[in-house]
Amino acid sequence: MTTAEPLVGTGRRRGGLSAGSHLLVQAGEYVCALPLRSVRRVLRALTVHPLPGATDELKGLAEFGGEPLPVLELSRLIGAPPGAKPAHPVTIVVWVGPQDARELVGLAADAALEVSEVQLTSVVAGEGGFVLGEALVDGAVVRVVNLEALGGDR
Amino acid sequence: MSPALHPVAQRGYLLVRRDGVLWGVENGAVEGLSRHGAQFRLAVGGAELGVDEVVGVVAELAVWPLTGALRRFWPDTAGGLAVHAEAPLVIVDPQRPPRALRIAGSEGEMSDGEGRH
Repeated sequence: MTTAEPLVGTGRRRGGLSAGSHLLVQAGEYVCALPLRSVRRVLRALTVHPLPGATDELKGLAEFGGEPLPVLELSRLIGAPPGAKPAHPVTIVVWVGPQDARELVGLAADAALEVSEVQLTSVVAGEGGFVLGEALVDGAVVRVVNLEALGGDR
Repeated sequence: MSPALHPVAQRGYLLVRRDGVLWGVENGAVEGLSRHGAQFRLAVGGAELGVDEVVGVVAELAVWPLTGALRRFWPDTAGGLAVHAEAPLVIVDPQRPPRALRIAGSEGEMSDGEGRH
């Protein structure tokens, strides 16, 4: 396991981040918000090796820091309509699952956009699944992803 | 990372490829290896597995258990995950050979514990 690295080159110190700090990413036609405290790394899209028999959400396995890393297609996870072919796709390495059993996965997304504040009290609950709900950021709707729900067994 | 996710050192794996996916089989679990035309057949755990390529043998691999997130989206069976030459690979569980490698109708095909095959 590699050690913790700076997050996404925002220049912010960890201590300066609030609980509402989220990384906004493009996934198909949706913009998603990932809690910044769960983001380990943002990388140019990793090479992924598909696994036979996997569901549509699982893109495959990649190598990250010498370890195997499952990579999930973020747009599939949240049911986003497909967008234009991304110019600079990324893999976002995140912690998922509950704190006491967290695990790393990669999320394949179309682009990392910016770090923004999303007040969780303003999130309108969604229909469950991996979307916690929707919130407005600068007048645009973003889907807040529930990374805890992604870990462990159903 | 929780203690359960620490890699476990194992010795001796046969590396094979099928449909572009790299798999590792413990040397001691390989009961037979034969060539059938352009393909190879492996006997593992009483099942016959088909592979496209025998990549080689490695003396040691660090094996990580399957994580919950992976199991959620990949229903096949495996003994763990590893990395060789910067490529991820799946470790075959000799007690439950993966459906992805089994040759249809081969003897030793096992149920998944819920009566399905």
